[in-house]
Amino acid sequence: MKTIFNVEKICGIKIGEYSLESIQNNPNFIFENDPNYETVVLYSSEGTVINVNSWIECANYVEGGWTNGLITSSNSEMYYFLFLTGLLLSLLGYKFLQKKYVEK
Amino acid sequence: MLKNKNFLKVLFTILLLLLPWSLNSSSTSEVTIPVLSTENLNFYQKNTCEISFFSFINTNKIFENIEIRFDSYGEMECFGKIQYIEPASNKYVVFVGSHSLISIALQSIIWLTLISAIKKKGSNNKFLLESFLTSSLFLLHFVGEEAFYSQLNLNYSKNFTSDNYLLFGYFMTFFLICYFISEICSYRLENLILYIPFLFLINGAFINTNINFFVVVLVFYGFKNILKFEKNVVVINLTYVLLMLFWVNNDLAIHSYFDIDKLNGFSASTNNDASLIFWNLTFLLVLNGLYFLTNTCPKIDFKKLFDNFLISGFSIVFFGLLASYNIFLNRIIYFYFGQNKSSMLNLQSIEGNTWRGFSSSAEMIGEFYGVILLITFYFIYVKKIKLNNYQIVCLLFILFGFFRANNVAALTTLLAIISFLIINKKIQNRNKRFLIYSFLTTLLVFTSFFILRQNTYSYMGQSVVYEGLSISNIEITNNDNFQYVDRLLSERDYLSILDLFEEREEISSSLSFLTKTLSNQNNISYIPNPVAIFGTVALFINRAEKWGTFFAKYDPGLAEFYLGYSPLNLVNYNYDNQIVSNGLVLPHSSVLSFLVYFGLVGTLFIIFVLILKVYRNRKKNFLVNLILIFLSINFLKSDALLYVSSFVMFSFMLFLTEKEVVYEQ
Repeated sequence: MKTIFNVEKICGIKIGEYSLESIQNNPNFIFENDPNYETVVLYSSEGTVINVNSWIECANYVEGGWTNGLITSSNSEMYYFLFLTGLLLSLLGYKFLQKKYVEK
Repeated sequence: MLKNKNFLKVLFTILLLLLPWSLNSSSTSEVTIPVLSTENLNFYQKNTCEISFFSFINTNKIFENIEIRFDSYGEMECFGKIQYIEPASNKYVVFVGSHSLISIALQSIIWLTLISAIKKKGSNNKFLLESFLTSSLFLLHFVGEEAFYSQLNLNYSKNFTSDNYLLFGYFMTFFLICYFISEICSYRLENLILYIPFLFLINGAFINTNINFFVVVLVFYGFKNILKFEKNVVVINLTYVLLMLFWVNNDLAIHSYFDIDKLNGFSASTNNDASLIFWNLTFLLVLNGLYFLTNTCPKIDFKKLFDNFLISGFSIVFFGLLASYNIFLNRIIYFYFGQNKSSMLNLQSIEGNTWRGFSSSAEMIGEFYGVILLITFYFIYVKKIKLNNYQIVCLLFILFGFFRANNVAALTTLLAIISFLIINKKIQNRNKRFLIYSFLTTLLVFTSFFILRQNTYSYMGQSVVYEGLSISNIEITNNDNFQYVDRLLSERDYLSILDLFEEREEISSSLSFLTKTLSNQNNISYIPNPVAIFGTVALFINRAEKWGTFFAKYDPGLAEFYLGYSPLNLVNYNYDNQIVSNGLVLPHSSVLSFLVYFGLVGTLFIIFVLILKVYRNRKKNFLVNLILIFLSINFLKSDALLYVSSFVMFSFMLFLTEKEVVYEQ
């Protein structure tokens, strides 16, 4: 599911039957242009750019780790971590003050 | 003041229950959400992480062709929203975002809020070191089980880099959970242990993780127990650590992923060093934690414990029925009760078993209900305690649950113990008692004979070996003797099969040993072969096939046979010898599971300790001993000790043998 989820987010909904496996096992496979497919620009992690002209070509590259640059990892986990750290420090501070002043 | 506090708690809980699932993304707040159909599938697939779970449920009121799954592989913003919809052959699979960090926090808050409803008693409140150690241990787990967690977390990485916020967030989440455990549980320490029966209702499995909330609580208090540095505790723990050195350094094949399925939260998903260290320590700390909690309670109020058993048993049936009412409740119950498996969505046939979801196995819940009925009988018959109306209502539900669990072994054991109690009370004369027991034993032997008489002893004795060889991967298909093995098997020519596969590894070491012992040419006449007795017993209790499968898989070397693979580790057992059937194949006996964990020496030692404890305290805590005997007999043919709730209940009862127990407050 996860792969399809990413592929369809970048390449659009899969229309028709394609077998990615058969393509990946064939090093001489040549992708045919799909005139109905709107060209998608993909980027590798090294910054290389490629234009893909069919859904299956796009899916093949996305499977290989290419992205359209639009799916960026959100910072939510960082904010979550900062929030937890802040909460913990506040609680510890509160506890420390409570021990020092209230319980005395 | 107190009423206001409770009202706020209830309000807070309701908000937490509903809010995370009802927040739409701002961009879809003004859009009309269509009913899910082939035509509208595109809308849902385009608007990933935009539509809340509530809005989806509200729009799609008919769920016949919809399956809902919680999917943690996504960003945090997706939590509680529809992440993706996948069309399958005759249904749609709807993935609801459930990022693991938020799930862990949300589930913990709910469960801790529930714990806060327990009456306060106790005050020990140091937490810093214990919290640090506990969260570090769970961090080790997160890093160690890479194959498991990388499938479930989009940004998973085990590297300690400055931008690995998932890892830091994970550590911080557990640190905060420990803080609140300390804040909430410590003030209730003296009462906490009496609420153990609720572990069967709230299973405590964190969704899409291999962690159980109650294991975290026990690990936290386990550290507390160890840090007290009591002499006896130190000696036992050090001995265990020595064994750990053997388990961790044992040179075995490492398997990166084992599908733990319903063992979630109490079993290793890989056997690499980090994982083994985590699970071995966790086992030790859980026992330490339980010991600490049991000892903190000065007197065990069995009446309170009984009440909690009744409420928990009743609630399992009640919420089980509720979960079958509709898919939304089913999913919410799955999430907030921390179930290992979802409840069923049907009230007919097997699906009508209301315990499904709350319990991982029919045996386990049958034993739980059996324990409740045993305590009830003891209270009414021996202690002459009258039940009130609400207890009777609870009991009716429990009887229904027990009936649906269809656990014949639990029923038989329960009847046997009840008969024992009646005979002992009614007949004071020892000779008469002896006569009655002799009569009943003879009756049992004759009944068994009539049940088994359609088979010969020879046939029955071979059952485990036959089943084991049948499921072993020993088919020969590429030579002239096609189906040769099948013929040898049907002729029960086990020695020829062993000869044929002597140089190969298809037959496990344990099955090979059993087969050789069974076919031993030097058997002494009139003395039954031990394997034949074992096979006959297995067939009688309907375990021949299951145990045959166990021995077909169980392939230890000499060292592992004596000392085991290590606790909570079924990885090597599962992979070391492949058999015909795939998937999770459990031993179907807690004794056999412990044989895998601790080897022959460890298992015999545990059985010895159990017998010694029961014998020593036979007069002190009679009811506790009866429960232990009831459970031990049932564990011979059930896997219950592989699950947190059963393991905790059994260990608690074991610790209870030496505690002071009161029946009336």
